[in-house]
Amino acid sequence: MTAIAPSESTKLRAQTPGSMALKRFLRHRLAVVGLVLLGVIVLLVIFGPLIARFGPDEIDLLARNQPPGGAHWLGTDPTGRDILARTLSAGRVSLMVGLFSTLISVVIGTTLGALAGYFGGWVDNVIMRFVDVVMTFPSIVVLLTLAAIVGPGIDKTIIIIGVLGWPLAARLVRAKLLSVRELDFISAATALGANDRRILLRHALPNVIDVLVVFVSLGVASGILTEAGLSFLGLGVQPPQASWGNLLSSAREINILESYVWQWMPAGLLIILTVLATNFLGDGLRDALDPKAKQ
Amino acid sequence: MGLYTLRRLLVSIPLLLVISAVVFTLLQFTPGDPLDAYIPPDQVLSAQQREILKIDLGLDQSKPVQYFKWLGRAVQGDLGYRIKNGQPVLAELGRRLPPTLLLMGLGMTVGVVLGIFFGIIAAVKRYTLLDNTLTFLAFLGISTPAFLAGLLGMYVFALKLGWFPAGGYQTPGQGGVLDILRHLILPAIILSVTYIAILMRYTRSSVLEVLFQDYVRTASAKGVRSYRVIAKHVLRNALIPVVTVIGANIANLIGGAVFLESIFSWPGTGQLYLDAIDSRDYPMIMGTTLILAIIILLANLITDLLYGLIDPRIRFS
Amino acid sequence: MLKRSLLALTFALCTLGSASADKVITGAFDQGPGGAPGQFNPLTNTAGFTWLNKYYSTLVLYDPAFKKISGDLTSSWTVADGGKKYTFVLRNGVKWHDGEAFTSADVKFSLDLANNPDSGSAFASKFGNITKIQTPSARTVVITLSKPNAALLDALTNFMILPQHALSKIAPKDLRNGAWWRTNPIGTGPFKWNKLVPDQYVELVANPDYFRGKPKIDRLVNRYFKEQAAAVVALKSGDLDFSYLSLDDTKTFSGNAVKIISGPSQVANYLGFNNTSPLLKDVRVRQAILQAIDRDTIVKQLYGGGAEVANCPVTNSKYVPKGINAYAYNQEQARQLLKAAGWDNSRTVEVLTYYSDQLSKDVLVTIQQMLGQVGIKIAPRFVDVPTYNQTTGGNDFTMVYAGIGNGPDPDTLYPSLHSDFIPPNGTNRMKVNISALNKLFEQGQETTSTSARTKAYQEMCSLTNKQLPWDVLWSAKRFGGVSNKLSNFIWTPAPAGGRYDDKAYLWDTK
Repeated sequence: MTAIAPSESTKLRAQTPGSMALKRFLRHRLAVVGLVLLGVIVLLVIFGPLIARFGPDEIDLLARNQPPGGAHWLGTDPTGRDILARTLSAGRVSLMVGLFSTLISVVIGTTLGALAGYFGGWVDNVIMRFVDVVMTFPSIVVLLTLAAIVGPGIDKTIIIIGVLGWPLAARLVRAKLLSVRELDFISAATALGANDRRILLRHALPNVIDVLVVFVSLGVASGILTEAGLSFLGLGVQPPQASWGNLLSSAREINILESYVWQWMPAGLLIILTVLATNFLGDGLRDALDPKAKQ
Repeated sequence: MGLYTLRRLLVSIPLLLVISAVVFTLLQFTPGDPLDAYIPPDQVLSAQQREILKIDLGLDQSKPVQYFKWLGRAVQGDLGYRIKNGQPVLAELGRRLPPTLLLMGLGMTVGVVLGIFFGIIAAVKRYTLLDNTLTFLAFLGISTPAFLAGLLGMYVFALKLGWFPAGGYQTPGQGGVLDILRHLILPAIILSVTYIAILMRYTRSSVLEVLFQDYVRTASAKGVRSYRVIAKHVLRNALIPVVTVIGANIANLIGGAVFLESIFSWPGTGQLYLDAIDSRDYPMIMGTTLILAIIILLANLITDLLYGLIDPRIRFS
Repeated sequence: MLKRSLLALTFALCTLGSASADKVITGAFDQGPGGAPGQFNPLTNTAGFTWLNKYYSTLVLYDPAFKKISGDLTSSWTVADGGKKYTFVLRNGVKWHDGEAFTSADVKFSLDLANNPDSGSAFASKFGNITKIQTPSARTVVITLSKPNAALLDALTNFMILPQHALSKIAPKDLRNGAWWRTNPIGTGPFKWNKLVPDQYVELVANPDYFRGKPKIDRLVNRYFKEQAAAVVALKSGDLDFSYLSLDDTKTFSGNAVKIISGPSQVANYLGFNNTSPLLKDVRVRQAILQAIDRDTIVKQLYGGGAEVANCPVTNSKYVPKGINAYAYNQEQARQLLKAAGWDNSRTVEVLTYYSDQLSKDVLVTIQQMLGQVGIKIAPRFVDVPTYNQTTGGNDFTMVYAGIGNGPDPDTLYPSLHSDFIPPNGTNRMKVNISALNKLFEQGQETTSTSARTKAYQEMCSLTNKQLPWDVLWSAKRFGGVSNKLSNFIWTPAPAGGRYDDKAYLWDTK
């Protein structure tokens, strides 16, 4: 057997699954745009306090409803608070709600989905029936009822949205595990005597990461939209704390919708852009990590 | 398939029981009971009157008793009476469900038709500017919060352009088919935008997947005209994800309808539900939840059955 | 352009079938805080009287300036026996909408119904003193009270008289949510019930036999809007002729199509304190709170000048004596008071409110900042009515931001400030328990001499101003918008609506 000597022209480069995925991802123009956009928004929001010249809660009754320009770059709201500062501070809240609620869904969903997918049998049955129940709940019903019960507030909103999203994560994790369970390396590990937990944690779960990554990016988008909806109804995040949702809900008054556009449009635009970016990102990730995946 | 349907229907029963029990329990933890809602903050009701009301509304009995009484009547088709105005729950729902179904129906139809249409165009003209634009618009459609689209839509089309009335179901005193349609169009179109967006993308990717498979290329090479190729082979295969998406989004449609019904004063179940929560109208909330859950379960069942019809390869386990 | 003409054509086709040249006024009469959309039982209603007054009538009514009470179903009345005996002479020739004659039996029936606990009526507490109702003739009613109640006439301005011949067959318990109220109610008002399309609108038609004259218009429609924004858009686009407007809404109307009406809301906004809470027991703290808030600036900036600073719960200036403490804005003094009272700067006090409009949010947030400047930290919490009711019914709260509806007669404040009415007996949610205050209210109700009453209520104002069971802030204006197509239209804001003679039979369209 002649060894193939590496030469300049026939150098074989090892392609790891990671680099292949990266390549597929980068080919997706919209996904890259999404990533960059999201990055910019996150940076803006994190460095908000350094960028804005006013605090988000500084009331100045003599500077009410000022249009953009001058000292307040994006203008002021009906109590004279700086719109730029409020929108960026709201961004922190909305992104946090989106992210942490999705993380809650992931934790609950992965645990239950892994148990169901790996063990099968009656465990699977019981968990899947539970998933069915939660998924069948008209989500708006649960949202409103829960919000009425636990009351408004950032942390409660995070919990409510998180608790609604886990069934989808559970389903995804379970489906992935079912397909992975039969793979050779799992059987090999079992044959070698590895116990259930070890197999689950070290071999099966890492395969699930790609599904979850997509879920998280899309979940953040959905979480932001749900928070916006809740705040519109007066639940969700409460004043004086700003969130994109409750900044946007000021457009409920025709006067503000019409004449004070700068008070709600930045929040609205940022919701759209962030959700857009995370959707692009999620789409790109799905294609990159799981090119054969069907929905 | 008949057996499968029967099994699914049977499984639904305990499911509905659990849902109703959970909702009932949740309601018990909600601050404020129907009496608190019935009486505004600055109204005086004597202790005696409160007692009478309490007994009348059945609120004096223990919680499990209240639940089982409700359950007993519910299985006979009697969903009780609204606390707010004493009207039978079923009758209220019966009045409010048709407008929501009308709104959802038109929204879904427009969404499906236009979604599939644009999806096919985007697939056939893939990677062109048209495709990219449509994809971008689709993303924009699912990224915009429903209530924002509703508010802006009403402001632009009803107020500024005057094309449509500013909400409501009909003009008082009229109520003919065309009058209702005039009031329906704007909210229905806004509702359909999300559907168009989602379906367009799924149709596009399903069509793309199938378009390049061998049997299609073969037919194409044999000289079968391209639009017939698409219609016959591609569409049928692309329908599966479409059916999935429609089924999965029915619950969403009810959710989106809540905001739009509120903004456009559309007298549907979304508004009814918001109202019921505001007035802690327990029988109304329980009744609405039950009916909505039944609708969703049925929709899921029909979706799964349709799979079987579309793709004979799918077996029912 | 094509679309417009197509739409116009279809619209024209639709209207072919409907009545021609019908004069209709369409309004959103149950929009805003005084409205009660979808509630049609005048016994149990606590708001929405503007609409109810269009097809029911009361014995007496105020004028739109709330200065004088005149008869509506009564032509005259006398008060005797030290204020314990009222004799009403009813107007002649009044007929119910079904043609039956209106008599004193209907008045007795209605009052008895209100006092019957089974009917769940809010008026029971106001008519609790009535011991006897006699009907010596078809046109005379004699009401005897156990003790004088100078506020009886005021209470009667909202009390709709109901037909005995139609309702006596229905048991009072079934009446509460009965179908009668929304299917074919019968009243004596200028308009008759025509139809209800649930959750959408109610339509009334003119009553040609109305005792003051046939109304000028043919139909009156009341449309319901869940979103205030939708009502505003409808008013702007001409779909609506009248609606309640918030301060912000009024700013979207420029030009001549819509006229803006404003008037005193007769609602006093206040910061209420749980009077049993140890936290705020020291009156110096309550004084400090008042002095830390720059009320004049809030009124000028947030209310656009459309509010008046108030220093006691009564809004009728007749009962506000001169020389009460205005608690002028002085943050330095506030800090000193807090220091003297030993206020702990680190604690946060939750302020509960059931208001959810943008203006109230702005106000609370501003108050939060102002109080914060003197070291009082508050956390506003916006809840819905049932939650507010349940929480303030108990003891688990410290402060609230609320409004109290006044009438021209300060007796309406009785159930909110008298210790007999601490929940569950009534609406004294702040659990105010000042015996001197109790006596003043009792006095005010039982004295018939106008000057004595005025004095009692003025003292009530001074007392509450000094002891501060509530920190009263201001009383704001409320607004409505009327299309310029209407003439003779009268509307003024009033808590719960109604109560005043808006001469609806004279309303007309140009």
